[in-house]
Amino acid sequence: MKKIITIAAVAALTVSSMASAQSFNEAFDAARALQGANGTFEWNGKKYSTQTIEEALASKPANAENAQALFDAAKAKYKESQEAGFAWRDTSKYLKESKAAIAAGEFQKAMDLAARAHYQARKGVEQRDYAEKHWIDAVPPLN
Amino acid sequence: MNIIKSTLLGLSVAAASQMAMAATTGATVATVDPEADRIALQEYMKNRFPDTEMSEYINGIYAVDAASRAQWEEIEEFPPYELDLEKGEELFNTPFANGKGYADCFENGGIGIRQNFPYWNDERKTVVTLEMAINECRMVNGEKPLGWKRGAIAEISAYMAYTSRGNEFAIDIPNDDAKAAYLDGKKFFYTKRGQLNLSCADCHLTGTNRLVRADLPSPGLGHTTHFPVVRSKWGNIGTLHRRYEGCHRDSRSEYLKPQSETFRNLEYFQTYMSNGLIVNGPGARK
Repeated sequence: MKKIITIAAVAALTVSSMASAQSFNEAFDAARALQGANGTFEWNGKKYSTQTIEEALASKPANAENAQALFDAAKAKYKESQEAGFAWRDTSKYLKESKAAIAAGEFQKAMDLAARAHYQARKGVEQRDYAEKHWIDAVPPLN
Repeated sequence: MNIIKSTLLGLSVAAASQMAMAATTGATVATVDPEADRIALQEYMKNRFPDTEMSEYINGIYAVDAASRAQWEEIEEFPPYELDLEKGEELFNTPFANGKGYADCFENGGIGIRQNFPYWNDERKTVVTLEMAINECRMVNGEKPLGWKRGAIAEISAYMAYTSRGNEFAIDIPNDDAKAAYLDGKKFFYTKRGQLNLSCADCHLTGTNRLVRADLPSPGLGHTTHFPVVRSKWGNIGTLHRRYEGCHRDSRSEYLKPQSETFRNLEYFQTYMSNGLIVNGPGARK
């Protein structure tokens, strides 16, 4: 009886600890929801900001060099999301608008638009990664 | 020692339960079983809608929502696709410039064959849809291809479907290459995508007959039996791939083009799911 209780307890503890292990993205999303863009959180013993990559990039000084660098990064990420088959509908529109804003010398606008495009493309790639592991979970099982 | 043994046994039980939770079937060409998928989808729908006969799934949302059905039955008293059928018959029977016609390209002169599409062409290693075959017929005979979504191609397809009404779908998946195409279509159907993070299954499996804003999504079983359709929203007749494009766009994805390989594979998967159901196209839908 003691043995059965021990087995059950170890199994339960192991399963619950495996289930409760948060991924970085889950920890980020939870902290971001609670604190907004200017918070911090701990994950696996290290401290992180709740700012997205794109917010950090778009908050650099608004000039031609930074705007072009962010546009190029967004374009590359967009291409990656396209190749994955997970590009979003409006990303190319944001890139076009960003390019036009660079040409017009509106660098902050260009950086904001490129950041939005980068975010969408990054999320599309994340969708692909998630789908690779989980799409099958949605298929009805055969009873 | 006993405690160590028990702990190790406990860990193995935990690991086994984790493996069981993560176990999947049908995600690779080696494991996918189209017939099991089809039966499982039917069982899912039977459980969700126990009062709906399986043969009713050719009628989309009208199989499961009484209010929508009553409106649709009134619409069907004067079918909105009647003129398209007449036009389709006329186009089908109009010879090409070289004197040949559509009847020369298809088995049985193109009459009563809708249920055989889409099929796996093993020489070309691709899925061939009816609309694709119509356009290939034109090109082989020196004619320009038609646009994929509306107009003449939908009218011709509607006429060919009409001559096939009542015939049962029995789509074949003859080998592993075909199975790979089926799996690609299945994966597309169940994969979340776009800014709204929606899969086809989100609306047409779990979301069937549940309000999505003001709309009631149809069951994912039987989708392909009634196309082409006149949609009230379109105000004219359109092909299945026109609808695919619209759905894909509505998930806020960068949408695929009609008759792209992925959409053809999706049609292959969806039509296999409809095996045993009959052709009832063309149809009228909301």
